[in-house]
Amino acid sequence: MLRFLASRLGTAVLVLFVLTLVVFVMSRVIPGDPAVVYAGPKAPPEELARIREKLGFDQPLIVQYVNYLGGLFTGDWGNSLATKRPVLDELAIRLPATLELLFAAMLLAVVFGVVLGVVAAKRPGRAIDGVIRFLAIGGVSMPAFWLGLLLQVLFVGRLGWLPATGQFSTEVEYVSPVAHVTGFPLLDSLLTGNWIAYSDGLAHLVLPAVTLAAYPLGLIARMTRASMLEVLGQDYVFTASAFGLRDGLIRWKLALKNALPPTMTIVGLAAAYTLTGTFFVEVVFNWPGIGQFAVGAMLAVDYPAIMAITLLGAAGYLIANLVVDLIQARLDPRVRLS
Amino acid sequence: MTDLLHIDDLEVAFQERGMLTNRPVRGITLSVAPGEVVGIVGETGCGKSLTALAVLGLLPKGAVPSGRILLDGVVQPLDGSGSARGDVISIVFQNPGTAFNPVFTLGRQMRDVVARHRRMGRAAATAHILHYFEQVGLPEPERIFRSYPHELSGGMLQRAMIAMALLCEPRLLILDEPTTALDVTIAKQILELILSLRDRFGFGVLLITHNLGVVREVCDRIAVLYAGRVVETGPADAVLKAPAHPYTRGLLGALPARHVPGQPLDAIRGAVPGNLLGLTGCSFRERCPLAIDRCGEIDPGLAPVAPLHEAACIRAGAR
Repeated sequence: MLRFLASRLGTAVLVLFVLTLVVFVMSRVIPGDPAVVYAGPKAPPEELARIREKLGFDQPLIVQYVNYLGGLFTGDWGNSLATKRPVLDELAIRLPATLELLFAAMLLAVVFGVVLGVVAAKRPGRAIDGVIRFLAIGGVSMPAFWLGLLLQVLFVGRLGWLPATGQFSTEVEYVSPVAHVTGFPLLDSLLTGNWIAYSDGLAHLVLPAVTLAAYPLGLIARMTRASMLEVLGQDYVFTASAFGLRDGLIRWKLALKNALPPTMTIVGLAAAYTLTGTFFVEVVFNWPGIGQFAVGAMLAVDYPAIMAITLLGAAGYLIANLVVDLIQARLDPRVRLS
Repeated sequence: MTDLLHIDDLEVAFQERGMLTNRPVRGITLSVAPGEVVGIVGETGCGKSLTALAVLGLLPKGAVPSGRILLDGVVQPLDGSGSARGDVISIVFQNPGTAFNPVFTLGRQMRDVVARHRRMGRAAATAHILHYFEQVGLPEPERIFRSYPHELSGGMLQRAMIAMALLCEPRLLILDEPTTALDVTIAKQILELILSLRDRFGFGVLLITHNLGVVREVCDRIAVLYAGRVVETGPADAVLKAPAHPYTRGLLGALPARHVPGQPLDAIRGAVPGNLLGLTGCSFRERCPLAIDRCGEIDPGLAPVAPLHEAACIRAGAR
């Protein structure tokens, strides 16, 4: 198991290294002069030259790359051209909110996706299967920003059950502010027993999390259904019923454990896709995460920020897949051998 | 004496949207006494596996069974609602490599079976399982208990499968082509193991096979199935030495062991009829070398040809 982990980790590091190169080259070939972004469109030429020198653009590309790589390791990811503050700081204050949203969405997606998939596979072709497949296709094909608006109209506008935007109500930030423990706001409110903030934060989390979960949930439900149907046709499932084991045990334990590894592959891919999905959802729900910052950075050609966000996204993808690999190895002894 | 298993005029038809589509089992009567090994022999599609599934109450969707199945004189529900399977009746499948769940250890899988049918603590269940691993001659039972299926050979897995089948001390063991997927030497060991276990535990055995060599080695009695019916039945020795039905003779003639070098292999020409609905006359007549006009008119039932030996053929004696 350790060797398995080490080899997967080694691959991940290698991929990340290659990616720094790709990100760097891309940042140098995209149109738009960073010096102009930094100084503003009306800056005189000598001012631009001074900024280029300051930012290191006058040096050979290879030197720039080595400097960039060195900066990545020493925690200097460059300054945002738009806010002039270190990119790493900008991300650090926004990432926890995004991760909380992402985690909540993936949790919803995995739990409900798997359950719906197993239920649909119980009676393929029947009404319940049709309903679940319709929901799954709807979840996959509905654009997140549109679903988000619809949910806001229904649950905020019509029913008034849930708050529309933000991570906490403004009053909460005055009455019962969240103390800093881990930096993850909702988690901190729970850890410090700040129930006012926690319940308020949960209420704020529901709509964006559901919006974000729709796509991965649909994918996971469909994959689980297909994979369960295949597993249910296997000899060992027949053996289990021939030995009189109960249907519930066969489906939810014996068959599902076989059906999960292919589903987990989809979970890894969906998690990465969902990470980018947070960008839209955060804008719709005014969520204080990296999504809004990322959208701003792209519009402003704030290339240090774009590079940092790209690397972060790639790291997230690699971590998600590493976790998936580990879960698969845990579920299926044969994976550990390969 | 009551039979351990008595199958009385079992029919299995298939229905789709209220319409009969096929009737692959057309009235099978068969019994197994305690300690007896009864072989069901026939080609693919003759209904032997469906018969076994009906006994287990595991017929596929759309199957409509009729007739009666009695276990120790008690009528069993044909719809699979009985709890006899895995308990009083056990089965060993053809392919041990795919019959075990690949993501659980053998010990875990067997514990599920024990937990379903017996009130037993975890430790007692483990000891129980290890005991049966020893009974089937598996070395290092503890290691087998912790092993995943892919870590063991086919022969070991089949022994483990037999151990699993014995966990609840079944009265009847169904063996569905238990040696077909195994090497010849391993197959022989498995058959010997089954016979010795039968002597020790006294269960009856229903052995399903198309391999007449296996039948010769282990069966006390056999039933030859053709197109969903028993066409010949009797003591194994008698049927194999003096087959009365032309189909049984054909099967024996097609054995490669009987083959004279240089001569083409004997084969029964034609194939089993695909759909058995609306069949009239003798179902074998199209392929039968002895068929006469009258075979198209009457469907012969089983009739004695010798003591305890019956065949369903109007030309049973003819050569």
